[in-house]
Formats: sequence, C-alpha cells, structure tokens
Amino acid sequence: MRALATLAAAGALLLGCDEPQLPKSWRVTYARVLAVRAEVAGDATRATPEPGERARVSVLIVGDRPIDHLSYDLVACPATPALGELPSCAGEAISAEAGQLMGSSELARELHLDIDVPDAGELDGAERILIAGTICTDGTAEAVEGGEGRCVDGAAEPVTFTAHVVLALDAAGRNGNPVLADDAIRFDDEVWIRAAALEPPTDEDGGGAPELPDAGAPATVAADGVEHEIAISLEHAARETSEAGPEELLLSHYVTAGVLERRFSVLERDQDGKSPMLVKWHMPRVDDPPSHMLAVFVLRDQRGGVDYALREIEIADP
Amino acid sequence: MTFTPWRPLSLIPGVRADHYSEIGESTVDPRLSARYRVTDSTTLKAGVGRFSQPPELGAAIEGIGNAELDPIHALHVGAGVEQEIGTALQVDVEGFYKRIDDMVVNTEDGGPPFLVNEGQGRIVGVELAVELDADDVFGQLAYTLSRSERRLHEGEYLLFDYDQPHILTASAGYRLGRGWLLSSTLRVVSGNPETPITGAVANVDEDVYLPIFGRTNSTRAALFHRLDLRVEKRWTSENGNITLYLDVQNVLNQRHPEATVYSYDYRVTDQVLGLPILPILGVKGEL
Repeated sequence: MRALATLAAAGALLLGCDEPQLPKSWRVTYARVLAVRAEVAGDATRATPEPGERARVSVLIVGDRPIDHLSYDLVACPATPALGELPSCAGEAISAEAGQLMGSSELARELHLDIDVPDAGELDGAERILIAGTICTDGTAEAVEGGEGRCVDGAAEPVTFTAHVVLALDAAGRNGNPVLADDAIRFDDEVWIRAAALEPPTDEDGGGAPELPDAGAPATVAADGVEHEIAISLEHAARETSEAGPEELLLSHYVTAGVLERRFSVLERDQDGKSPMLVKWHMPRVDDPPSHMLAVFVLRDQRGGVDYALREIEIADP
Repeated sequence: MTFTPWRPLSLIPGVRADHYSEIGESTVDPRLSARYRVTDSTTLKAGVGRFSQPPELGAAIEGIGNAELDPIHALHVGAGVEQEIGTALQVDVEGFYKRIDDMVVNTEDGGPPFLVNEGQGRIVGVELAVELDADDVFGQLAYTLSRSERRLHEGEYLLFDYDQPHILTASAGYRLGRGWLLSSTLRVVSGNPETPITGAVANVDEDVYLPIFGRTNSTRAALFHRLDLRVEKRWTSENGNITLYLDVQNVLNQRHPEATVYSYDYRVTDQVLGLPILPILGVKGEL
C-alpha cells in the first residue's frame, strides 16, 4: 500500500498535478464577520421579530490580532427576495449606524444595531430584513452601491457582509435562537471555559460597546504538533421542530492559530445530538508561535436562529 | 454541382433544407462559392452562405426550456487568394466574416420561458496557411487573427467566452536520410477572456462568500505557447517497418495556467498549471 502511495505521489509530481495552496476558511487571518445574531427586544431566545417589534442585531467580528481600530457602516432595510444574486434593499433603510471602536487589545469585537421592524403594511411584501455592512481596521468604513465597500483614508481592505433577520409573519415563521451552552464545548475532555472578558473599548461615537461573555483563565497547550480533541455537544441546543422535522443545525468553527480538522459540523435532522461533534486541532511547531488561540463556534439553525461562543487557549513554546 | 460560365470562373451553388421536429421548424439555407483562376498559379475565391442549426438538446423541453424556440442562423462570408510559389510552396490567405442571429440565451430575469432567441454574435478575421514540401524539408504554418463577440437581448457586444485573437500552429520536419527524421511543432494561442472578480461579500447567513464580478470578459488569460520536438528512426524491410521515436512535448517546460482558483473569500488566487516537459519514448511497428 505504501509503495502504491509513493508511486501515486511520484506520478503526480511527474505530471505536475500539484494542488494550489489557498487559505482555509476556518483559519481567521484578518478581521472577519463570523456571525450575525438577532434577538427580539426583551426576549433573547426569539430570533424572528414580528412586524412592529424591535430587535437587536449583534455582529461578531474576529481577527487574528488585536482589533484596536474598527470602523463600521451598518444598514438595515427590507430585503429583496432575489436568489442567486447579491442581496439588496427592497425599500428605504429602517436603521443605520456608523462609527469607530478604538483601543482594544482583544481579537473579538461585537457591534449592535437596533431595528424597529415596520408594520406588515409597510414591508412591501418583504419577508426578511437585510443587514448589510462594511468594516475597516484602518480608515473609515463606507458602504458603496452594489454590495461593495471601501476604507476611506485607510490602507485596510474593506470587509463587506450581509445577513438577514427573518420575520415572523405568521405562527410558522416563529423561530428561536439555538443555544451553545456554557458546558457544551470541551477541550481534551475538559469543559472549555468561556473566553476571557474583552476590554471595554473606547467608542468615539459613544455607543456600540461590546457585551461578550465573562470567563475564567484559559488553559495552556504547547506548540508541539500534538493533536487535541474539541467536542461540541448539541444535546441541549434548544433545537426546535418544524413541519420538516427537527432542525438541521450547522456548526461553523474557526481558529485564530493552529490547524483545524475541518470547517463545518452538521447535526442532521435524523440525529438526536446525544453524541458530541468531534473536531481535531493542533498547534504546529513554529518559530515564535502566537501567545494564545481564540476558537469561535457559530451555530445556525438555518431558519434565522444563531448562537455563537468564543473559547481561548494559551500557547506555550514546547 | 459546378457551373463554369467562362473558363477561369467556376461557381458552386448549393442549398440545404432541414426540418427540426423538436421545435416544429424548417429551414432552407442557400450557399454560393466561386473560384476565379487568374493565372496558373493564382486563384481568387469567395463564398457566401447561410447556415442553420436547432437549439441544443433539451432547450425546447417545456418546463426547463422553451418549445417556441426558433432555429439559430448564421451568415458566413469569405474571400481570399491561393498562390503557388514554385513547385514547393503554397500560400492561402482568406478573410472571413460571420454573423449569428437568434442565438439561444437565458431570459433576462431567469424566469419562464427560461430560454429565448435573443442572442447575436459576430466574428471577423483573416486566416493564413502556408505549405512547404521540398526534397528534404517540409512544413506547414497556419495563423488566424480574429475577433469574436456576442451580445444578449440587444445589449452591448462583449468578447465571446472563447475568443482567441491569435492562433498560430507551425510545424516543420527535416529528412536526415537513412530513415532518420527530425520534426518540431510550435503552437501559440491567445488566452481566453476572463471576467475578473473585484471583491466578495460575506454571506453570514450561510457562511459563504459571494463574488463581485467586474466587467464581463474584460481581462484575458495568459498566452499559451508550446514547442514539441520529435526525432525518429525508421527501419524498413520486405515484411514491414519499425519506427523508434522520441517525442519531447513542451520542450521549453512552459507550465501554462489552465484555470484560476480562488480562496474561500476570493482574496487570494492561484493557478492550476498544465503539464511540464514530457518526454515519450516509443516504438511503432507496421506489417
């Protein structure tokens, strides 16, 4: 078998079938928007506001280095139903916010946008609210028509994103946010405590202070290439059942350092979630490894419900 | 059927009729070509004709296509000259123009009837062919300079996805004697047009990125060129012959980019490269 593998590798080299090496989506290498979560005002368990209700939208941004400058330009508007194209507004903006957060030494930041969902008669048939935004880690973020954005007076490449808040237009449209419980994530069979509290940033515009969760001290691993096991339990994830059956839960995982086994885990409709999802991670031996790694878990029920969790681990030289 | 109204001129008229049962349409396409022998070594030639073809298989199926589609038509016009130079060299130059009407394209909004005859195309160019066959040396050269464009729904003409302005193929051989033959082929072809990706938007609902495209077919892939060499030795006997050959493909080891691949967020690109230099040693026998 080994001889066959060697022969295949030699053949591939001879024929030039070398695969391109591209960045992996699970590895955070710049400030990215990893999750957008909606909560109905006064009831964080509800993801889908009804017409006339207020909702708070949280935007999670994670980078591989401290985000000490974050400029943002966010807008919410009734969404077009177009499929296969860049999402766009079907009507006037119902909420917008732009500003800058300065001075953090943490890898994660959170932005908030409050939206007052118009009454049904003013939605022009829209079934979702589009959340669109541009962020910049240098310069001033400015959204541009056509989905693009720019960083004015800054060298950073703009990060543009879209997400939707699904509206509960009838009883079938009501949906709750799934839950990543505090003890749902384990690292090498130990409960992986929540990431350290983030420093309160200086908000030049006086709003949008982050509210990421408190935590204890992170564990420590060595940059020695040894594999570690991350186990995520979705048994108590507040999974709902719709007409199509139990929700299919999609779990995206990201790290700011090291090598993760894969990008997604899925809890299929016919799985009960009693067995945890297992993902391998290791920190290769490298010169000057980062002092710590932030892991981000984003759980989506694919009906508008979202939860996310951050975990941190210190990295020591072997 | 060839008509010769007077001796240097010959005319070849033609007509083709088709019926396409899947769309219930028929076409009649007239054609005419002419040759005028100016001298024993020089001939002028020209041709014009209409060509038709049915929509692709499945395009007329109700529900996924349009049963009311019409055939696609093209008008071809060409004119040129053939010139013999001595006994060993022939040169052929021809200009051409093609216009395509009623091309099948998607509806503007992607909705029913999904496909309509609202595409047009135009191609203009010139072809040069040279053939040499002397005692020990032989060779061929073919070069096409062209431009091919398409437009949808009466919109702006844009480069065709497979437009290649320059296509050159040159091959030559030298008979060394005693069954030895040395030959070589050079191919040079323009890269296909490409539509650049100017950015991407993170679709956070689904954890994917949606590309933002620039102007359609406004950039072009790199020029392709490849040089091949071949040397062979042939042994002939009463019972047949055996040829031993060494083919070296891509002698210059030009790793041509075959495709562009993008990172998950379209910020980083890489190329899938074609074959490197490839030597092939072989034996061929004939009885």
